Amino acid sequence: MKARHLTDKEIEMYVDTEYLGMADSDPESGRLSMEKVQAIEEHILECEQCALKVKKVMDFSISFDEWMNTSLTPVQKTVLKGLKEMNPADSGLKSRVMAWIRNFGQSANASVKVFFNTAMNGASNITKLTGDKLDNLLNRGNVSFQHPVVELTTRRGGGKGSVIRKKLGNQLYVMARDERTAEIKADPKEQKIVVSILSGRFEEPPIIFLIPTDFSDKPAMKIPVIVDDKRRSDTNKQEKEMIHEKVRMEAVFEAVDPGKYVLAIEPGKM
Amino acid sequence: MSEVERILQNVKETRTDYLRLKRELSGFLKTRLRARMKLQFDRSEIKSGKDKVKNIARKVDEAWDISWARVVHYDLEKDFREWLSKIGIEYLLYSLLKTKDKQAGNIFYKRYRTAIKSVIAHSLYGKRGTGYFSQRCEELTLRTFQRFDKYIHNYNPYKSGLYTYLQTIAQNLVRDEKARPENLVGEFNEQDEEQEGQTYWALSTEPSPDENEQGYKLEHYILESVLKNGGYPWQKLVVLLSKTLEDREDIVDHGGDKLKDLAELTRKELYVGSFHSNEEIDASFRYLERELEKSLSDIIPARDHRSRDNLSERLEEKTGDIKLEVFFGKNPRKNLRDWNHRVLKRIRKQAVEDGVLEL
Repeated sequence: MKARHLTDKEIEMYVDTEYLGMADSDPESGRLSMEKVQAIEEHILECEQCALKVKKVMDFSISFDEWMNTSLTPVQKTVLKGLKEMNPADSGLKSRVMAWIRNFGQSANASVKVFFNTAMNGASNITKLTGDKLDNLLNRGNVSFQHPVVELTTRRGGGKGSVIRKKLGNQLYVMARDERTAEIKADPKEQKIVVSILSGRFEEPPIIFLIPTDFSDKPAMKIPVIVDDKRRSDTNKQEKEMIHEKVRMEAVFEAVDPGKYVLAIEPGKM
Repeated sequence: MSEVERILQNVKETRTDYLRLKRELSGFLKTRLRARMKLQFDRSEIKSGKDKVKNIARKVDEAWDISWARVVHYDLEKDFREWLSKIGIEYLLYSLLKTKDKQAGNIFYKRYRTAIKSVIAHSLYGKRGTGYFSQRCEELTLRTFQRFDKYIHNYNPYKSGLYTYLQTIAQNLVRDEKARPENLVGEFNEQDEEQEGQTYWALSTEPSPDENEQGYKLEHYILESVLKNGGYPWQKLVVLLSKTLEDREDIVDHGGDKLKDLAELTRKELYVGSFHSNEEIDASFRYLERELEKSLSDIIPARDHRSRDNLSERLEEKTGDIKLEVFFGKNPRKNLRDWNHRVLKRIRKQAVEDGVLEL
């Protein structure tokens, strides 16, 4: 390669040929020959200025390619649509919802699918909470979900009891950086979904949305408030064990109709 | 000399000739791998100095051995150096993947994700275009890469390329998926309960507010730039369809749709699939809408004789009323690739002019 620097055209053709695999089908640009590719690379190995330019063109071109290939999961689409439909009157809340939308692609994304007293896989009256599998696979954000597990003793034929472990499908622990920070419980009898924030280290509690997947109703928005622990004295032993003294805040969605929902928690607050 | 001895003699002579070719072209492959390291794997945990040189030399030697093992698959009509480069660069990538290099993992995933998702979408049962089908395809794509991570040591570069190995994994996963009982739930997948590990390269870190803002601005710039400067309306629409449809192959199925209907379809998809407000999206679409109101003769400049000749009978028609297939040539898939590339070239040029891409 001559001592001269690479032209912008050469850089673009090199990136398209080698990193995007596009040029071979484009009769306008043609495809760089291997001799030309080798000459360009020999120059790049010696010239930091041109190598930097190539990297910049490569980064921009790959960003475009990623933009084309990035699509949202159905759950994310539901959340995004729900967020766009919300128009809180309070300017502070409005700006938080706007920030949530703007940072949606990059920031943590904690969403839970909710089957509330509805049909599922042919069975009726099912209430179940699950984290989004794709989010879990990719670990987008730092939040994950776990079902609480209870031990039940069974007695068959009057013999010695055996212990089985059972996941509570209608409850979820929200884990942030391996620490349990919140619990979600769907109660079809009481027609309630309760989100309990367990830790008191938040500057401000997260906004929580309950969005019907068919958008038959407007998404409901709640912000957890501090609860009086005495009020909870009627809760049963198991619940007490789960929630105990850590409870600081609670968001309660009441009169929830049977159906499918997405429960979305404002990112960056857990 | 027996027949067997004669054959072995021929093989030995051919091998000697191949080694001569290796001596002649060894500098070529070395340059290719060194440049790749410098440009793509600059943040990888690679050794520096003398070790790095030795490392590359070893990779070059190994790539030549792999090429010898796979030479029966070489198509004599193709450029040998291109074929050899592909083997060498793939081997370099594979070596980094074996060390769990995060950067290499990301490059690998981005490079093959779309193709693998397409393979899965074509083999999987289900109603294409639904959110549920798309989610299953996406999950299987991710699991293909996870399984690749897990069984990377089973991959043998002497037998096939990385893509072939990924394809085999994807097809096995689809076969397993087909064997499962039909899921009756439309929107959500009951299999969500399964515990899945996460891929080491996909572990995200919380981006800073500045990074978020930068990403948001770039996204907006690309969308606006595609709509304003992306070229002919049908080319821009193909790029937007590539973004909004679940599978690029589906675009050809929209050939019978009018451009104005496709514009509406993509706009609605962007409402639910883009982080921009509906008002921002509407504002960006206004330029395209105006173009679709014009006649084709006002859209294709006089200097583009070829397009004018090809579409001579349609020039007086309103652009938005013309069906997408009218603009396709003999090979629509090739058209789609070309248009995507042309739009990229135009917005890249614009980005340089706007100072977004500083060269």
